[in-house]
Amino acid sequence: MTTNNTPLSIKIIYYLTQFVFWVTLLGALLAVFFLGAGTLGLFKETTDTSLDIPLRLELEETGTMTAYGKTYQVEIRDAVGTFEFSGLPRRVTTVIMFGALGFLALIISVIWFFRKFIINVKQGLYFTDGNIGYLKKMSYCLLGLWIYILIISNISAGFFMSTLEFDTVQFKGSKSESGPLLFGALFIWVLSHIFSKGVKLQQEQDLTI
Amino acid sequence: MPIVVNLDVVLAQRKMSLTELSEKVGLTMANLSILKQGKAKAIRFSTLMAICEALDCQPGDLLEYRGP
Repeated sequence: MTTNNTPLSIKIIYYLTQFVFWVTLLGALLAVFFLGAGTLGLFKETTDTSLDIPLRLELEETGTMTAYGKTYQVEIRDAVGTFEFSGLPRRVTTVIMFGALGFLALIISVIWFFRKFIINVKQGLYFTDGNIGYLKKMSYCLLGLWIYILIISNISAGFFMSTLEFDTVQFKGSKSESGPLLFGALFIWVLSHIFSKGVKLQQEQDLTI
Repeated sequence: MPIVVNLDVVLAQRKMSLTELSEKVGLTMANLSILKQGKAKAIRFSTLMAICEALDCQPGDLLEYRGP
């Protein structure tokens, strides 16, 4: 069953998804190209590289804040930021970049399945077996992302906690904010089962004369 | 399904084609075919009433229960 009366919100989500998908794909292709070129040694002029890694770290740092004529004690307990590591050997950055490509592949998969899903919805095809498949695959990919982040954050926490050294900042641990991913994966999984029931109801409705 | 639709039997008795019935009751040929082939999951009272009126029969003439 198809309909031309697609709600405006669905149309906006559809065009936004298309845009995000193609931009992400283009970015991924560029990343693969530069990684391939780097691995093959096409950028021989530099042997060492720098790498920006976003991290959320638990730390201990005290300071002061002066406002309204008074001075207050301030304690930094955790911080989110980009850590720039300079002078890393090429092979280290290559390994990290390959890891990042796996992450990117999972993100592109989620966007790809959502794109397929929203195309069906835009065409008025709501309760179909295809949509159930897309939702299930999206939940698997999100679960994969959650596991990926969990593993990487634990490995990096162990590594950075033992290797990072700053004069005034005392690092205590690393945090990952991947909880919403797990919640999203479970929510979409439940949604796929609701759609499965919807397909059965739709079939019954279609076969009611 | 143990409910059997005897639409083809009643149509043959009345010497009426499916196309004629379709025109009389206002149902599509596709839907009537589903009904005739026993693929339908349910039938609305309004549909049953329209078919009974068109074929001058009772619901019992159209539907039959065949137990396992």
